[in-house]
Amino acid sequence: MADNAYEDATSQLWEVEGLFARDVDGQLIRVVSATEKDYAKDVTLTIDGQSVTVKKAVPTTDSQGNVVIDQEGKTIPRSTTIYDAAAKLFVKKPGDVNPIPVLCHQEHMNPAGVCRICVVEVFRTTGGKRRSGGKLLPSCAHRAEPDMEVHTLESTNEEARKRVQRSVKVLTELLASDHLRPKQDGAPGRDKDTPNELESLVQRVGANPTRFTSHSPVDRGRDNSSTLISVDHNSCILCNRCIRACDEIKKNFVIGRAGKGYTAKIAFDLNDPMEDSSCVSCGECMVSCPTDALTFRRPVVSDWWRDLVEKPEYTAISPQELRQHPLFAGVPYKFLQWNSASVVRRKTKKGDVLCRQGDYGATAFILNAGEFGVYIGTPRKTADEGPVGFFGRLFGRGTKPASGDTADYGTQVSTRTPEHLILGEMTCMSDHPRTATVVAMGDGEVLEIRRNVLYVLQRNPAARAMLDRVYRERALQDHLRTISFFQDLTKEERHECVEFLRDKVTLLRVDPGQNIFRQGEAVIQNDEFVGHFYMIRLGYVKVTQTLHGTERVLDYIGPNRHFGEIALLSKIPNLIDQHVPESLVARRTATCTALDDVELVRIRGEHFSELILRFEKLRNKFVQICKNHLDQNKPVNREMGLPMAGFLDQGLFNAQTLLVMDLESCTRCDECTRACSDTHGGIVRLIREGQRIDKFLVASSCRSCQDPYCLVGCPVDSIHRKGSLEIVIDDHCIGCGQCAKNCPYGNINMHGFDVIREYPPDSGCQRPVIQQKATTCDLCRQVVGANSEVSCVYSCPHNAAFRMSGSELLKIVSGKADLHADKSTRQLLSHPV
Amino acid sequence: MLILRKHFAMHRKWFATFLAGTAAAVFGYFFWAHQYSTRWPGGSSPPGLILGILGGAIIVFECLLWPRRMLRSWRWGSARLWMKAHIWFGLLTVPLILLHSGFVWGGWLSTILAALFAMVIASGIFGLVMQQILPRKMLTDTPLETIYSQIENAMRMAIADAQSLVLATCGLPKESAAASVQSQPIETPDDRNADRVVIGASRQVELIPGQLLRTPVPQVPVANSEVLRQKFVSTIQPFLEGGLRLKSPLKDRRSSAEFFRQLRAVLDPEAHPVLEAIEDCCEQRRQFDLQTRLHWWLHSWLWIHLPLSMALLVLMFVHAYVALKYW
Ligand code: HEM
Ligand code: SF4
Ligand code: SF4
Ligand code: FES
Repeated sequence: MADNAYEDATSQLWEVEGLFARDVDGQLIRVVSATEKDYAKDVTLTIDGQSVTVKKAVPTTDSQGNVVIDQEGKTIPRSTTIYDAAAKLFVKKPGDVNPIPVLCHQEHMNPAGVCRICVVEVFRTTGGKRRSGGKLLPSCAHRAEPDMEVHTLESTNEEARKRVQRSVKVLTELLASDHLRPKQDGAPGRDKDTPNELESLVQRVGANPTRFTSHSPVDRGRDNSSTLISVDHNSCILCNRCIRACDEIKKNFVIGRAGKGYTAKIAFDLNDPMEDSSCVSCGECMVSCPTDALTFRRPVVSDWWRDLVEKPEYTAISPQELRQHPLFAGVPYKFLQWNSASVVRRKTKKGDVLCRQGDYGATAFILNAGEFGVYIGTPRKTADEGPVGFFGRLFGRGTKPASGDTADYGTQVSTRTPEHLILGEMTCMSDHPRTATVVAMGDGEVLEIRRNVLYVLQRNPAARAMLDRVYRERALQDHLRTISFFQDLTKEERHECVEFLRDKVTLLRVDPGQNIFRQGEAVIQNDEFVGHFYMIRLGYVKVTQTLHGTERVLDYIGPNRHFGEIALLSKIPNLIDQHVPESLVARRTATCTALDDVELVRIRGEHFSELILRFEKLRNKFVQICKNHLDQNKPVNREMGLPMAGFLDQGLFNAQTLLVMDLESCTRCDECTRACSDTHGGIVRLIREGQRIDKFLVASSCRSCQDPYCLVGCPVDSIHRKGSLEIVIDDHCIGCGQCAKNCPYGNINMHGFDVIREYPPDSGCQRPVIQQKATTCDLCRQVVGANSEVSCVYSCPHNAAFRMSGSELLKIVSGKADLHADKSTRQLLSHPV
Repeated sequence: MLILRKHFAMHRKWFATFLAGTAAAVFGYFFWAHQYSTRWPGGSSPPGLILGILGGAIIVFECLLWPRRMLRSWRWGSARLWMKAHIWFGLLTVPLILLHSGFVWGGWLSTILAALFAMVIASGIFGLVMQQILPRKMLTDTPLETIYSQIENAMRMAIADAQSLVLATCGLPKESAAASVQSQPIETPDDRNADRVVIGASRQVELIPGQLLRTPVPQVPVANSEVLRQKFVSTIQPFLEGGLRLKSPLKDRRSSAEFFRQLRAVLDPEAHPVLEAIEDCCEQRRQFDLQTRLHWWLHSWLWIHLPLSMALLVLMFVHAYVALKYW
């Protein structure tokens, strides 16, 4: 092929320099790129007569609202669109309606701008007069500009409104006449009573769906090959939502387009039947589809749901009912139908316990009616206080109070009512044990939802903002209650401190690899003191120092520890009676980097100094900490005695149940592997290969990370942490491989189970197929119960196999603990070094 | 199972039991002999009989290790507990049986039995000694070791990698060599999926974080590198496939280094990274071969220990039956 695809210089120029270019999918896009500077710029425009101010650009986020970072660690600016501005103005809480309808766009996706349903009329001042720009603009893709006067379907400017209405109506009618198919009654996902998004749009704009039906559209066929999803190409409006869902959200890159003109359609791989393609059957495209083109074949039913609805206090809830709930207004209806067994309704009576402190839970509670008491027990034993270690958890956890007396749950710290909307979401969102026990105070009703529902809720910006607010508030309150820095204070002093800090702390989330501050950074920037004090709520932070060009890891610190103290000395200079060189306090002396998903509680420098000046005990403690630090800082620094970088690189700090083999004792007899296989019906969950540290082999088997990456994004919530540490994959796994993709250590494997299924679907013919399911080590809990040893360790005849946390391993390898010490001593060592 | 040094703590109680058992048996036996007998009491004497029953019971227990191993998912005590019991009770049988015999061979049956017993004990002790030495040796000498059953698979993949490296460095082969350096298809682990419908993601996960060492592969064939292909086809590949079974300069670390040094001298520096990767493959082969040998020493003694102990068990019952019947 020639080096360039364009014949002459002019057409090349056009392609390169034109206002439009093509993105990787060949879509025409407008090239107006935003810059990071735009984050600070305000744009004020009016929409339907109301003024709204938005930032000119915002960082690109993923489907869960997390900021996306490029390879250089920078954010990716994205222009704020007119649609975003309208959402800010009109959608204050979940359930509010944006006056601009969208069809090809969804708020958690990048706009494609292909359907033009979101068009608006825009007036601008040109030549001293206010007038229409001539073209209607697609608001989902067009950036918000200063001084725009936007008119939507609901504008009070009649002329503008009519123009938009006419246009949207015709577009809708054109789409409807080609692609609205008669409903097949009884087909799941296509039920008669509930309109899909295109039908809803027809109703909303009062379109006549049969206005343009005189010609018969080309038959683009159906694809019945997949057992999960049925594809009706004739209903497809080519909005590209499924393509973006598959490529951008799930990164599976299966769906694209094939054909041209009337025969254009979505295609799997190289236009293969869906089942033969590389499709992993995760269902993301199907829940994204606004029409009946992609629908599911049967809803997902979990054992969790089946067991619960047997009980009298629980009832199933239909997707139609769920849809009425304002919180679910932004959730695709198809998702609710497909996953309606991820929600149950529970009637509560006085004294019923919704969840217990210290338990791992995979559900949250939406409060519909009643009052609920939140109790916190003492002494608290949660992951916040640092890893307790495998055996500690094994025996210390989940012991349930025998009587129904609320005194068993500790003291009541607050009361929640439907006004607070949701409870128990923290565990779902952070994968850490419940921080409180919740008990019904009278008759009430809650919806218990699973994590996958929460994920989908979070895609909706209004719901996300609400959940985020609730989460931050509760996380901070929870943290304030347990700060170790306040340990020495009396109850009253502590209370006073907490009250002082209540509205002065900020919860920060830091992504893995992101720096919190860098060595050499000045603590005063632009006249502002930025030497703040940080406390870790969740996750781990790496402290490194670069000296003579080489970076060294000084330490890694975990939950409930704090850092950033020294810089505060420049705020309160005469606090300690020793000369502190300026070079140590004016600039940060080390770099702090998040090792995993870290949540920090930040106290601003000025507030912190106020605090320690007020409380003598805190001041003394602080002085002591600073002195220790300065002493250690003297020559260079203490160094960790081990290949620390490797330890951190491999995520071992996060591990709680590493399968470690002592290669000096191990005869490579493979009894451990065989025992694992025998315990789990022939499907082995460990591989005796992996990283070597000193004389140890860290085998590939689930290590029960404190922050389990694998749990994120399972579409049917079949993977979760059960009662204690183990990760369990339930039988309703659909085999999409998301969890396996998520696990950075390759410890989840997809296993093909032979099953007899109707295949091809709807053919009436039964044949053997291979159903993939994810499998991982469950610490044998499902087989032998919580108090027995895992099979691999139990069956090693040579005392060569152990389960321990990463920090225990580190201690052993660096000679600070003995491998053969008995377990109870080892467990005490499980705090980070 | 390691016994000495740091590991002895775990065996202390067992060792004490063994000593106490031995002492009790010896004391009891000699005391009885001294009191009631003029010659060494045999199996039919009261102490001999008691010791015989005890020893026999222990031998039965020793043999139970086998079913314990087979029924791995049953929870009847951890394997390390069984192993400790096996070792120390096993050793305890030596004084018990010796005293039981009254220091005479007896008839042909008991002679065979004694020989079997000696071999079982000897092989057991031999195995235990191997377990003290060889895992440590593997730790230091075969850092590249893999799961024993996967050695040939891993080698096949390494060969395929080496072939593609040679192909990238030397370019497409002239007709003569074409047949040998075509990379052979690598078997997929799950061939049964080939003609069946698979629902869901079948990928296995390959992600391991951290640093991956990659060989810089030449973008275009390196000039004058034909010699690499020749050596690969004539010497390297056969060694990678056959290993120590062949006579090859690559068998030995030193001559292998020399072989590659010569090759490096005639090759363009651009091909050196590839050469190093191939040299590493040869090292892998050598380590795999060493691993295979060590594995054999670690485990093959069980092929004596196990069948002989079964024979011992059967003959022991025959011996007991005969002895009791004609008592
Ligand atoms: C009375 C005599 C003995 C009998 C009848 C006996 C029998 C057995 C049996 C049936 C096994 C099971 C093999 C398997 O698991 O596949 C075994 C394994 C073993 N025996 Fe013995 N044994 C005796 C004495 C000893 C002694 C005295 C020692 C060592 C001091 C010993 C060391 C071992 C070891 C180390 C194994 C396990 C090998 C491995 O797991 O790799 N045995 N023995
Ligand atoms: S458990 Fe894993 S493979 Fe199964 S549905 Fe969930 S994410 Fe997909
Ligand atoms: S059972 Fe023990 S000795 Fe055997 S391979 Fe596993 S860790 Fe090694
Ligand atoms: S929703 Fe904006 S173009 Fe489709």
